[in-house]
Amino acid sequence: MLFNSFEFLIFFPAVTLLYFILPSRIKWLLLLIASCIFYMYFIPIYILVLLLTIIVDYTAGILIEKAEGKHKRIFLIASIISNIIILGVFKYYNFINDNLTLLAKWIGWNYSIESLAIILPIGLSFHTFQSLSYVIEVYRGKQKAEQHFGIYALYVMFYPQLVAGPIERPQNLLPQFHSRHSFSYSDVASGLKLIMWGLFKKVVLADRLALLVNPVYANPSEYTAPMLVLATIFFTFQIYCDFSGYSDIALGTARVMGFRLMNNFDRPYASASIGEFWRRWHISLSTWFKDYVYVPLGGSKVSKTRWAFNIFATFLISGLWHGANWTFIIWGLLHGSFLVISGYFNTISNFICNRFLGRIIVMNVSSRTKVIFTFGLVSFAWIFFRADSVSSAFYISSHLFAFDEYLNVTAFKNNIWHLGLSKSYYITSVLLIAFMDSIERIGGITHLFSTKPVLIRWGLYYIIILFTVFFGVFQHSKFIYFQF
Amino acid sequence: MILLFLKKLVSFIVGLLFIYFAIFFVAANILQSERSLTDRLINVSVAPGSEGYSLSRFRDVNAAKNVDVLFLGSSHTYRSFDPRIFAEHGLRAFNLGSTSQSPINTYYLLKKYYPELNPKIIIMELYWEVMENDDGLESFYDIAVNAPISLPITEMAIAAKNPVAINFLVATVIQRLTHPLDRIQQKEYRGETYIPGGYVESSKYLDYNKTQFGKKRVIKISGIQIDYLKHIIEYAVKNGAKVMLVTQPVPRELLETVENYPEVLAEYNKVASLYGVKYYDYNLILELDTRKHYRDKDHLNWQGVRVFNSAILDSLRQDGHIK
Repeated sequence: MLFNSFEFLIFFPAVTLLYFILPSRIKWLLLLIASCIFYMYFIPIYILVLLLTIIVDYTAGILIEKAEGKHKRIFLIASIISNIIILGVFKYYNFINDNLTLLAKWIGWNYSIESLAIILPIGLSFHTFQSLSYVIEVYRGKQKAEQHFGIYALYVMFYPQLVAGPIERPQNLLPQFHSRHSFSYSDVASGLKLIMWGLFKKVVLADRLALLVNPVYANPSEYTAPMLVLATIFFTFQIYCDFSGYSDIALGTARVMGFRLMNNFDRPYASASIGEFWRRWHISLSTWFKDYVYVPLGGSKVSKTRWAFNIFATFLISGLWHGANWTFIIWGLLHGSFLVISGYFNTISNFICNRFLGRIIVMNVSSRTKVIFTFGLVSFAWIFFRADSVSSAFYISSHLFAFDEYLNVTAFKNNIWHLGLSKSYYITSVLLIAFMDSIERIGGITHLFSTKPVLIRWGLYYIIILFTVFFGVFQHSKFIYFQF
Repeated sequence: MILLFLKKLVSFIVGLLFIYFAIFFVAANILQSERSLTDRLINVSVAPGSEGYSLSRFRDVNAAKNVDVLFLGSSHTYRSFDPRIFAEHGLRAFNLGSTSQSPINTYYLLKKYYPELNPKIIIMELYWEVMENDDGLESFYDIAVNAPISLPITEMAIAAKNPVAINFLVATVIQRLTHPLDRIQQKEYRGETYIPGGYVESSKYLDYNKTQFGKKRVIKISGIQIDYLKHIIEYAVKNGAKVMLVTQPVPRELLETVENYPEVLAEYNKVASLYGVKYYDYNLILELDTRKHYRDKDHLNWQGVRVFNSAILDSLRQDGHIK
C-alpha cells in the first residue's frame, strides 16, 4: 500500500481509530495485523520471506542471549549469513550472474546459468538491516532478546516504517511496543502535520519535478548540457522531497499513535561538507553503516591509508545496499572518494597552515560557498544514482562540461518545447522548492507558528492542503526508495 | 481530550471544504470561458463539444431506446462501427464509444445507459493502449465535460482514485451553473462527419511518409482494467445481453511495435473463456491496406470501416447472434 494512495486514506484512520479503542494488551496484535495487510498489498506471497527473516532472527536473538563464549558468535554469524542469503538471492543473484556471464563471455569460458525471474520483495533491504541491527545489539549486550514473538514480529513489520524505514534500533522501538499509548492531543496534531507536510513534498514537489527529470534521464542524448544540468538539479530536490516526504509520513503515522521514530533527515543540502551531508541525509542508514560497518572496521582511529580503505568499503556496501547495479556502486564510491579527498586535503591544508603560516593566514572560505560546493558534488553523484545505466550516467556527466552547448539558446528552447511543460511549470517548481526550504529552515511544519493564533496556523495548513489538492501530481507513483 | 480533538478536526474540515468550494465559485465568476475552470484551475485542458464528438453522442444517446447492438470502447469504437451498416441488416445499433474509454469508464457508462438502451448484444472493443492505465482519467475528463453529471459518472470519478478527478468533477458541476451543457455547440472538424447513432466517419487517408508508428515496446495490461472488464461482462450477462469482445484491425506497422502481442491476446482470451464469450482479434482475420483503409496510425477511415463492419456482421452470424 502506498502512503499516497486512496487505500491508505481509508486504512490509516481505520487502524488509528481501532488502536485507540482497543484495550492496551491487544494493541500489538492490531498493529501486527495492520502491518501484514499493508505489506501484502504489494505481493502477498512475499510475506513468507518476511516471516522467515523474523523467525530466524527472533530465534537467533534468544540463542545469542543464552549462549556463552564462542557460541554467541556462531549464532550471530548464522543469523547474519541467513539474512545475507535471503538478500543475496532476491537482490543480488541476477546481478552477480549477469556479470559472471559477461566476464565468461569476455574471457571465452562456457558459463550459462539462468537468471531468476523474481521481483525484489518491497523494503527487503530495510527490514533486513533492521533485523540485523537487533541481533547485533543483542550480541553486544546492549539489548535484551525479545521473548514475545508477536512484539518482535511487529518490530520488523511496524507498518509506518516497514517498506522504506527509518531503519530503527531495537533500543528505541521495542520498548515502545511494551509501553501504553493513550490518546495524546499533541502527538495526534503533530503527527497529522507531519503527514500533511510529507504528502505535500511527495505529490506537489517530488512528482512534479519528476515530470522533467524522467523524460530527460530516459533519453539524455536528446538534450543539451543546460537541460541535463537542470534535470540533475531537479532530481537532487526530487529525491530529497520524495524520500524525506516518505519519512515525514512514516514519522507522522507513528506519532499519531504515540510512537517516536528516529529522524531521517536534517536539511542535508545545507551541509558544508560531504561528511556533514552524511550526518544529515538518511540518518538511520548512515548511522547503521557507521555503527555496524565503519566503526568495527576501525573507523578513523587508524592509519590514514586504513581509514581511506574503511571509508571506501563502507560506501561500496552502501552503494550495493541501494541497488544491484554498477550505477549505485559508482555512486557509493564517488561519495567515498569525496570524503577521502577532503580528508587528505584537510590534513595537508592544516599542515601548511600550522607549519609555515601559523595563524597569520587562515583558509577562509565562506560557509555559503562550501554549501554550494557540497551541493554541486552531491548533485553530480546523484547522476549515477538516477541514470538508467552506467553508459547513460557517463554520457550525462561528461556532457555537463560541453561548454559550447551552454551558449546555444535555440537548442535549449527546443529542449523546453520538446518536453511540453509550460513556463508556469518551471516557475512554480522553483518557487515551491524555495517555499519548502524556507519552512524547513525555520524548524519544520510541527514547530511552525506553534505560538501564533489558530487562524494563522490553520491558514498555513489550508494553503498546504489546497496546494496539494490542486497542484499535486497524482500518478500513483511509488516512492523512489521503495525499490530498495 | 478526544472530544476536543474531534471538535477541532470537524471545524478544520468544514473550513477546508468551505474554502475549497469557494475557490471554484470565485474562479468560475472570474474566468468566463466554457473551459477555463478546468483548464486554468486544475490544469486539465478538455473542452466540451470538441474532438471525438462526445457532446453530440451523449445528446443522441438520451433519445435512443431498446437497441439491438451497443458498441463500447475508445476512439477505435466511435470511428469503427457505423450504425448505418448495421441498419442495412435490420439491426438498431448505437455507438457509445468515447475518447480513450477504458473498461473502468465503460462499466459506469453501462450502468448509466443500459436501462434505457437495453441492448441485446454488446460489442466491446479492446485496444491495448487504453488498457494500460489504472484510472481511466483521460476518458473520464471527456465524459464528464460532455455528458450530464449523474451518480455513475460520480462513481467513475471516485473509481479513478485520483483527487484530480474529484476536482475536475466539482469544477465541471460549478461550470455548468454559468455554462449549461445545452447551450454549448459541438465543433466540426474537417474530413470528419458525425453520424447520428454515435459514429464518426472519416474521409481522410493516412499519409504514410509522415506517419510515425512509434518505438517497439512491451504492453502491460492493468489488472484493474481486467477486473473492470470482468465486471462489464458480469453486468451484461446478468441483464441478459450477449457480449462479444473484439479488437479492431490496426496497421501492420503499428502491430509490429508491440513486442508482447501474443501475451496481450492471451489476457483477453483468458477473460473471454472465463465467461464463455467470444473474443475476435480482427488483426488476425482481416488483411487491410495501411494506405487505403486507415485515417491515421491506428484508426480506420470510411473504407476500412466498411470492410471491418462486414466482418463483424459475419462473426455475429457465425455465432448465432443474428440471422
